[in-house]
Amino acid sequence: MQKPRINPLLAKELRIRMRNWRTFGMISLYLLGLGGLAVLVFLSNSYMLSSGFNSMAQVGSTLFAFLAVAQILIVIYLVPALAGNAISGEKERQTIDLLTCTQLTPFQIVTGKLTATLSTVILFIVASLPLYGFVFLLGGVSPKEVLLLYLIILVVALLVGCWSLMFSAFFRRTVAAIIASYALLILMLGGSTILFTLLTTITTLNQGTTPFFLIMAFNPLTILGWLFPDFVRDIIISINYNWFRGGFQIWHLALLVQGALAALSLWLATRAINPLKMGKRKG
Amino acid sequence: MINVKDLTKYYGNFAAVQGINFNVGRGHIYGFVGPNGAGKTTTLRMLATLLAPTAGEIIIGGVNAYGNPLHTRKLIGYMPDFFGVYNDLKVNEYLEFYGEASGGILEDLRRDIPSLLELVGLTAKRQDYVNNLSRGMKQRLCLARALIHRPEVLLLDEPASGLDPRARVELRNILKELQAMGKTIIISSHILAELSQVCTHVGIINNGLLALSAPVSEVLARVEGDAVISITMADRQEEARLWLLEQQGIREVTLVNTGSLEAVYSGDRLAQAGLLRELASRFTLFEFTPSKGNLEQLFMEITEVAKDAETKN
Repeated sequence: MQKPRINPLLAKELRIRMRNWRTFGMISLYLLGLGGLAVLVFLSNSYMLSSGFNSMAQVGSTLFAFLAVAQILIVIYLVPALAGNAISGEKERQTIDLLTCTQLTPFQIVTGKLTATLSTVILFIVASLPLYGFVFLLGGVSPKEVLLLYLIILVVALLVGCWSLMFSAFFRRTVAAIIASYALLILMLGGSTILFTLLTTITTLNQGTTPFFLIMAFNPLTILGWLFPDFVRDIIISINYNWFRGGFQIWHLALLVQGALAALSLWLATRAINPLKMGKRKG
Repeated sequence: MINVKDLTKYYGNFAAVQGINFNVGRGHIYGFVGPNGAGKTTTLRMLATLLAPTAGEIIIGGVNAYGNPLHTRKLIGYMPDFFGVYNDLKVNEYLEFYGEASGGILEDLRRDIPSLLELVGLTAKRQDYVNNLSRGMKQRLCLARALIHRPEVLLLDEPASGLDPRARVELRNILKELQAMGKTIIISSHILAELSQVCTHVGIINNGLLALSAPVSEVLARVEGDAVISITMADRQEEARLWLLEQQGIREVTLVNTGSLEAVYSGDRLAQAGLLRELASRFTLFEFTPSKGNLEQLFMEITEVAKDAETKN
C-alpha cells in the first residue's frame, strides 16, 4: 500500500516559515497583545470582584469572551498577511512557472498554500494556550468552550484564507493582494455592521422588525454565535423576529454564505494559476 | 520525440508565433535561434505547457501536450530564461522539494541527488543555502532541478545567458553528457557559435515564423560555400596572396594589419583540406583557420531579409 504523502508544498512552506524571524516576531507580538488585553480585562474586573459584585467565575467568563473576540479579530487581520503573498510571492520571485511545471495540480498548489497558512494559525492558537490556563484558574469556562473557540478560529481562518488566496492568485504584486484582502475584510466586518445598523434603525422606526439583519451573514464575527448564541442573537436579530425555525440561527447562515464565498474564491484562485485556462484556442 | 504542427500564438492581435512546424527526434539537441521578440520563449513556454496555443498541436512522446499537461510535465524538464529560487532552502532541500512535487519519492530522491549534483558540479554546495550560490551556480542548480524527475525532454531557454566563459564551457559539457544519456534537448540561445558546437539540429525563428529548421551539418554545408579563412605564415605573405588568388574557389584575398591573410573561399571541407595541403607544401604556415561564424552569417542573412521586407512594408 502506498504511504500517504504530505503535500510537498506544505512541507516546503513550513520549513521556510520556521526559518524566518518574521513568524517568531509575529507570535511574540500576538502573545504580548493578547496577554496585555487579558491583564487589562482582569484588572478592570478585579475591582468588581473585591467589591463583591462579581464572582471569580463571572470574571473568568468575561475574560474568556474578551479573549475570544480579540483572538478572532487578530486572526482575521493576520491571515491576509500570511496568505496574501502565498501565490503573488511566487510570481514576484519568478518561481510560479517552475511550480506549475511539476506534477502538482493548480488545486494542490492552492490547497498547499492554504494549509500552510492554517498551520501557522494553529501555531498561534497553541502558543496562546497558557492564557486560557489563566481563564480556567478563574473558572466559569469549560474546556469544551475553549475547544469550540479554537474550532471557530480555525474556520474563520480558513474562510479568510480562501478569500486572501484568491486575491494573491489574481494580483502580480503582494502589496496589491494584501490591500485587496483587507479592503474586503473591512467591507465584510465594518461595512456589514454599519449597513445593518443604519437600515435597521431607519426601517424599524416605521415598520417594526425588518429582515436587514441578514446582512450580518457576511460578517465573519457572526460565526461567534456558535459559541455565544444568545449574545449574538440579542445583538443582531431584532426583538422577537422569528425568521429562523428549528434551531437554525444567524451564525448557521453566516457559515453557509461565507463558506460558499470561500469555495468560490478557492475555485477562482485555482483557475487563475492554471496557465492553460487563460488561452483561447481557435482550432 | 517532439512534433510541432502549425503552432500559433496570438496576444490580442499580435501574432507571437505564426503556424510553425518542426520535429525533434529522440536524443537530438535542437538549437532554437532568433533575435529578441522572435517568439522563442513563447514557443518554449507552449512546449512546457505553461501557455495555451491559440492554434496548432504539440505532441511530446506521442501525447498531446495541451490535452494531457500533467503527463507531458512528467516527460519534460523546463528551465526558463528568468527564474527565481527559494533562498531559505538548502541546495539538497531545494531539489528534494521539486523532486517530490514532480511525483518522486523522498528516499529515491535522496539516493539520486548526489549524482545529479555531481553532473552539474555542485556536490560541494549540497548543504549550502541557495541564497549563497553565485549566478552560474544557481543556473546549474536550476538545470539539476529540471532533471530531478528524469525527464526525457529538456527545454532550456537561454541557459547560458549571464554566464561567464568558463561556466559556458561547463554548461556545454553538461549538455553533451545529457545527450549521451539519451535526452532530447531544445535549447534557445543567442550564442550561435556555441549552438553549432553542441546542436544536432537548428531552427531559426524570426517574427514568429520559422525561417529554417534543419540538421546543423546541412545548414553549415549551405553556408560553407563562403567561408573566410584566416592564414598566418612565417613570411612571403604577398607571394602567398598572389598564389591563393590563382586557386580555384578563392574569390578574394586581403592582407590584414597583423600580417595574416584573409581569404574568401567557396568550397566544401574536402576542397579546403586540399588547399591547406598545397599551401603548406609551398609556405611555412603557423595557422589556417576557416571562420566559425557561419551559422551567425546565415542567421544575419535571414533576419536581414525579414527586416528589409518589414521596412518596405
